[in-house]
Amino acid sequence: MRFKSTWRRFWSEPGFAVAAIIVAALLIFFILLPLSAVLLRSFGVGGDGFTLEYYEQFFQHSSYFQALLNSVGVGVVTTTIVIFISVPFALYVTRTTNTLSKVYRGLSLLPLVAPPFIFSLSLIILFGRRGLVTNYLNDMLGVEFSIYGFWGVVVAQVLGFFPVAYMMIESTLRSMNPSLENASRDLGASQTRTLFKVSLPLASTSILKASLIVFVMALADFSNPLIIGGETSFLASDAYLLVTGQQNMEMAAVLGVFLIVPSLIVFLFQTYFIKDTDTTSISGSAGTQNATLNKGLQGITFGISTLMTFFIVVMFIMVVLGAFVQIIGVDNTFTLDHFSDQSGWSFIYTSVIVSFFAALLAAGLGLLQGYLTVRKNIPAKKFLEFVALFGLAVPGTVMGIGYVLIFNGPPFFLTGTVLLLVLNMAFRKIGVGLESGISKLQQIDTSMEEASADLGAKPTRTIRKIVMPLLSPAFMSGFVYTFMTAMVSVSSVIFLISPGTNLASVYILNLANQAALGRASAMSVIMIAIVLVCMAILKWLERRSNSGI
Amino acid sequence: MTQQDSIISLTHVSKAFGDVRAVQDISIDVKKGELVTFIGPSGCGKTTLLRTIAGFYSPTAGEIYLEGTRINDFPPEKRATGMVFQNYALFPHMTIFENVAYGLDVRKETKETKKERVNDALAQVQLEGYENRKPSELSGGQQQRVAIARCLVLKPKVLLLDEPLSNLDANLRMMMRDEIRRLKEELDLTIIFVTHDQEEALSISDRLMVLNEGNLQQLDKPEVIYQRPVNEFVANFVGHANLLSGQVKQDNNNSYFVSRDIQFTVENMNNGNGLVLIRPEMIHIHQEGEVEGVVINKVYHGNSVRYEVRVGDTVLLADDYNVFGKNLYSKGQTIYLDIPKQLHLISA
Repeated sequence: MRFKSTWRRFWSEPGFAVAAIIVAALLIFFILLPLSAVLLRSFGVGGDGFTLEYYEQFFQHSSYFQALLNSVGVGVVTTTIVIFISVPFALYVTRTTNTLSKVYRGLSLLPLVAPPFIFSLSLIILFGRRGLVTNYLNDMLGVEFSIYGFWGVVVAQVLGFFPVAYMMIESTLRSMNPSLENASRDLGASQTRTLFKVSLPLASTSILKASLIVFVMALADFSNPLIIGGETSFLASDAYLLVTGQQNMEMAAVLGVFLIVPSLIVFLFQTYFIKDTDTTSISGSAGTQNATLNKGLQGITFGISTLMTFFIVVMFIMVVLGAFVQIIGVDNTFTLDHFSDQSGWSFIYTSVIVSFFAALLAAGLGLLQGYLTVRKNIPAKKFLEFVALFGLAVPGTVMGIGYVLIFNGPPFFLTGTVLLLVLNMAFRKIGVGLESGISKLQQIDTSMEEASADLGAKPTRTIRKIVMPLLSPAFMSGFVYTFMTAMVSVSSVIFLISPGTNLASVYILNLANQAALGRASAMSVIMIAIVLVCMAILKWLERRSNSGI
Repeated sequence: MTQQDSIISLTHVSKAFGDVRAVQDISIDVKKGELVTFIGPSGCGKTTLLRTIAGFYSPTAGEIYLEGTRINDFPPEKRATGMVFQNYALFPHMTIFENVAYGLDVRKETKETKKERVNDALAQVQLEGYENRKPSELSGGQQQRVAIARCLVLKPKVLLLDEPLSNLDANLRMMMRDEIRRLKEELDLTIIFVTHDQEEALSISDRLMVLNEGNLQQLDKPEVIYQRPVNEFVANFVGHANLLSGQVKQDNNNSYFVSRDIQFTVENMNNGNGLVLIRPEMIHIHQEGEVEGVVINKVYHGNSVRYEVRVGDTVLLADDYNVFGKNLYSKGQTIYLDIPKQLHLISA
């Protein structure tokens, strides 16, 4: 009875019903199907038939099992270090009035605009086999030193993933209602006590969330282990080598499953078990500012923040220098040779085109799904939301393997086509458009649409004149975010490229692996420039739409 | 009155959401030029009823007529009703002019007509010269006026106002209340007004419909609602009330009202059991009289003093309005209450 009436309501607006069915079909086809393929293939299904042989091999073959241990290991170590830096850094930025804090904030976000393996690149420039520091240590002190391996990966990840955690923690600390800290002080607690009894506990949810996200990112990291992991094996990079080197899809799928499981657990955990502590919307006006830290705490947080910012800046300078000199450390004469890489430029062109269409698709479909989710009664909408967001959480490597399994052979033969690259990037990021659409629509009161109908507008007109203009900021931010991340993403598309359709980020990774550091640096600089321009456009659009509304 | 002379006519309208019955069996005819208020505590169904009239919900049972036409299944855009939302729902990306012109655009009016009618509507709400501003540049009261103008410009058969004054501060609320009355008189508007503020409802309405838990309690003129409520709920919800349970008794030539602690003379009241309604301002306090009590609390309001007076185990509220320059009674003081002889009895 209830089911029937749900269906009748669903079909009462046929346009939306058809849209919902299309969105659902696409999500299932381009997210769920590839993931299922990975899971099934790990049991041999789709290959030689059902078997547990590959799991047996995984646990017997020490190098595979070791890869799991190593990946979990870097995950734990990287996360711990990142959190112990992010919290004081965020405190320094939000709880001091020092102008330097704003500079630090800007610089700390630099890694977001760079390819994910930029720090591996600069670490090799500094500490690689012929690195600047390595040579110096060798010549002066006779110390042999190698950055390759577990700790190299950790350092590269700490630098690269720090801004993700930092941004989440900072925004919580910033938006916290100052009256809470003021009340604690007023009740006689010292500042340090207030920090540990009020501020940090209130931020604990976001610190936990940040830790989980960094942990999964580090665990599933693909490019840093590939460049700087040396002889040490890690899950994602090993899975890639299994696919490309040995065509051992089954074993790659097993490694993929070990990548999915932690990301699924973390995703479920943070979607369903972590309740946000609401620290902002406590009633009463929040006219005041949070008090600044006392001298001692300021000193500690300043020290940590300075050290971190210094490392980030040095790393970036290394890449820029590497791009503009012949061979850094060997022949330091200025040159633009590294920028005259014909194939490099053509790959950048491909990257821009692919990322543009992927972003268009992801933001558009994401918003459409968001609208259907928030405003319409679509059967199974919670499930579809789950699929889209899980697509965002699944490690790229797994998605890449899944796409190879589904689209490599008949009836699709899509591997190597630009279309498949677009689809892969788009559906991995559709959750971004969905989330920004949902949050924007929740801010827009339904009464807007009702007022439009009340004034005589048909649903199509309401969508066109009211919903779409009001959602355009969400579309733009979803579009630019997807474009930026698609430009620098590697882990998934690396499985899907062909010599004709190479992408810039993958090309840079290969250059770095071949120790062509000059050209890799130059390409990275170009990528960073493009992404920075995008961010500037986003900021400009944001400001324009804010002044309009 | 029949359906034909009324603008809006509801007959036995019910609305349920799943198993929750939000509104049950409501019938009302709203005449041309009348302002009817739906009033009740939150969750009483008043907004649901208004949204059912606007077309955002379709009734589960019953009929809705607009000038004699059954509109049960008409979507909002096909109904000639104009709704002003509680949060105004002005389109933030459009100017004031574009907001007010929105409904005219739908009707594909010419540029000239559009301009003329938007200007007229803005003039009616005294907002000339604001055409090119954005909603965010206007104060709350001004946004409210735009929301009204946006409806007026379409000449709706009935204007539906959903708690329109609740987001305004006290002074502005009074002003807008008068403004809505003025617009109603000038333009002969038919208005349905939803509020939970009984003072607002009493002062603005031609008729009030009091709702509780989805059921109609009483539908009448403000003075009838205030003076002759049909039940305990209405008596308590609209205004402050002393309700004494007891009976009217005949003794020789006199009648008395007898309750547990209090007994006093009444006139022209039929014998019977029930609740007698005594509004605090109806009681006069004297140095001597029929009913003796002790002041247990007093609250000074400026134009009046509210005393809580204990008589036996019953506490009565009494407002003394004639206090200028007088000494106030103090806590613990014994006083005498003068209760009017003609009272409204809510039959048990």
